[in-house]
Amino acid sequence: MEMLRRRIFGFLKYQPLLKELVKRDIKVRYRHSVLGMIWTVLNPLFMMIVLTVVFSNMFRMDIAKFPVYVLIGQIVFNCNAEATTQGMNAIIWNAALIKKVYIPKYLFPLSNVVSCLVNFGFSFAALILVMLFTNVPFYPTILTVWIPLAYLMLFSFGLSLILCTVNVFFRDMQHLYGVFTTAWMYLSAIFYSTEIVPPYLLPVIKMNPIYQYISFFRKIILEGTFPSVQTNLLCLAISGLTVVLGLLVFSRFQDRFILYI
Amino acid sequence: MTQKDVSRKNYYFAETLQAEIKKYQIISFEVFDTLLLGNDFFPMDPLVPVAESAEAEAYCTNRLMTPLYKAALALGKPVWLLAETGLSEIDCRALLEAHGFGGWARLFVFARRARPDDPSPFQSISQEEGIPEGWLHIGVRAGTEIGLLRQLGISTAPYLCPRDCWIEEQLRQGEGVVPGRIPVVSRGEAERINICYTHTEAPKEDVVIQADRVSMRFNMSPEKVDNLKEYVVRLLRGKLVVQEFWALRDVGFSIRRGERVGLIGLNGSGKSTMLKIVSGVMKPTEGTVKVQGSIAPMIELGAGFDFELSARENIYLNGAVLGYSNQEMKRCYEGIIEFSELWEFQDVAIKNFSSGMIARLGFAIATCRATDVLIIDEILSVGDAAFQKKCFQKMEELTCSGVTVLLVSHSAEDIIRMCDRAIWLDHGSLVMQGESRYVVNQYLERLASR
Repeated sequence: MEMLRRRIFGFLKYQPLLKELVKRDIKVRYRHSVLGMIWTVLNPLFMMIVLTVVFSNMFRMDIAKFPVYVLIGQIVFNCNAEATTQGMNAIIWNAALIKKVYIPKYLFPLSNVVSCLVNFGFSFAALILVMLFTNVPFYPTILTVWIPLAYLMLFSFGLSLILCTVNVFFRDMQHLYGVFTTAWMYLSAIFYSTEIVPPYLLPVIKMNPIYQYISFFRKIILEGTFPSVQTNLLCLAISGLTVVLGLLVFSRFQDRFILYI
Repeated sequence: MTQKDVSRKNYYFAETLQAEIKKYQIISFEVFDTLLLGNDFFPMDPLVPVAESAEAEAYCTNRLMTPLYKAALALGKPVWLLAETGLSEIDCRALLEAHGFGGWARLFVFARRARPDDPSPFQSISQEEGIPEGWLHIGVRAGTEIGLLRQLGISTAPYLCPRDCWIEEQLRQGEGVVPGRIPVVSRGEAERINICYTHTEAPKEDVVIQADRVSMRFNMSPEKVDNLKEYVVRLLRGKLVVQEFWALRDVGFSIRRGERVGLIGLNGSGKSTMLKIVSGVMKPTEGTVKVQGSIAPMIELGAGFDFELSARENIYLNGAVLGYSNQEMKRCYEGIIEFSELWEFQDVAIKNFSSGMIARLGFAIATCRATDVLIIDEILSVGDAAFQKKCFQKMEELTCSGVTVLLVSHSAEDIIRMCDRAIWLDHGSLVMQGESRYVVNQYLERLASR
């Protein structure tokens, strides 16, 4: 109990640091570009245009409201990929600081997840724009978007914790994970629908947490239905387990980070 | 209640203090060593100011002490000016002899007796001569007078510490100075002060850092294995030998509030490891370190700064790293810019800064708010003489308000000048701890004899 109280107190004490770290993340990313923050909206838009052109003309995907379909998959997947890739390096990149000052170390991956959440907000604005331009109807269920977003963020945070722990001890992780995310992207049904997937691959895709989150988002935005309690529980379980596992792994090894960075 | 609050409560009005002075036969005032011999901060002709009594009055007394000094003289009391020099034993002895003074080369303390009717210059105090009972000492720092008290075998002596840093603080806060009010830092039996100072048994509530039998072990592999392939290859070949290396072995010490402690030792003696353990960055393999209150580590060049961000943004970032709230940083912001003299460069990305500018910024941020413990690792060697002077003054000010300073430096001079106490580490074990001058001299002697 005492421990929990101390943890919470520590978290509150370092609240300003979390804020500053997120601010720094966002500022540094667009510091020298002419358009600055506008890129956070433009980026997903351009990606969507490219994917739409490629897949609806060259590969002839037959999916209704394809631009929005692609964009949802795109921003959800990217949000996780960015958060985890940066989170993985969070400890190593902040080594100078960690060696010098006592800071709860989980703040670094957490700040990356939060800044990706902010980015997601901008991308979501892009999504709204696209929906307006392509005459996609808005359903009231879009207001529940924070629910899958919360699942997604928890999952990304948990995964970041595991990845950055592994990465401290084995730097190979960075390269491995790059390959892994590419494979992961193709298995997330971002620009195709699961109907074209051969049956033997279907279970693999269904087991992919990101696919679950993406289809959750699609359901509430494109179809206007809220997924069943079962789906919700499944998503919650995946996120919860990842976070718990991440915290366990991280806290088990965090005292040894200093010797390896 | 912090030391600061205590001190603020114990104001003495001038009348009370004068009454106090009447009670004692001998009054001594502490003089900065720097006043006697001069250094970068107070460039001065050696010995001249104190040799001429009018100037002595002005200098010795540190502004605030002047009225007391005058009062003591007016009462016809003999006044002793105690001085501590910053020189090595040999230099000091040579200098003293050149000027015709005997004295306490061992402690580097000598005194001057000033009386309106007695124009005699410096007079050495020796143990044989002794000093009468009933001594009131008004000093700045514990170093000088404690040594003197010890040597003279004086058991009772109230110790008053009027410091103008308090007045400066008041001025800054717009309170103005109340003439004749002097804060008392510590007042009590000489023996108690002595004990606190030498640390054999510091009062419990005053201990800020308590290290008990701290040991730190590192596993050194002959080559660093940080990728999986190598790890597996070595594991298969059975070559995953790990060499143990003890960076610290059973080191224990305790540091009292307001003390300035220096860590000395050769490279690799475990100083930085100790600092890391104290600041909580590393956990010791064995033993415990308990720290009361908050710690502000002086952030080394670069660490904690984001070079893409401007000075302004870095101030907020670094303040957050140290655990300060946003409001606090807003309040401190002006002071930090003022101290680091970066007015024109507030919004310039610090990748364009010189190393001196970054060091100034780092120091200013770490010292912007009163923390309980300030940790400084060799950072002062950057910066020019003027800035170093400023840093020293700031640190004096901070220690007066009860901040504990832990300093690592290779410069024996810095340790003597800035620390009350030194801890000497060698190959991870504690060789000696005690009065900084003594320990540093022993250390230098050992080095010379190698």
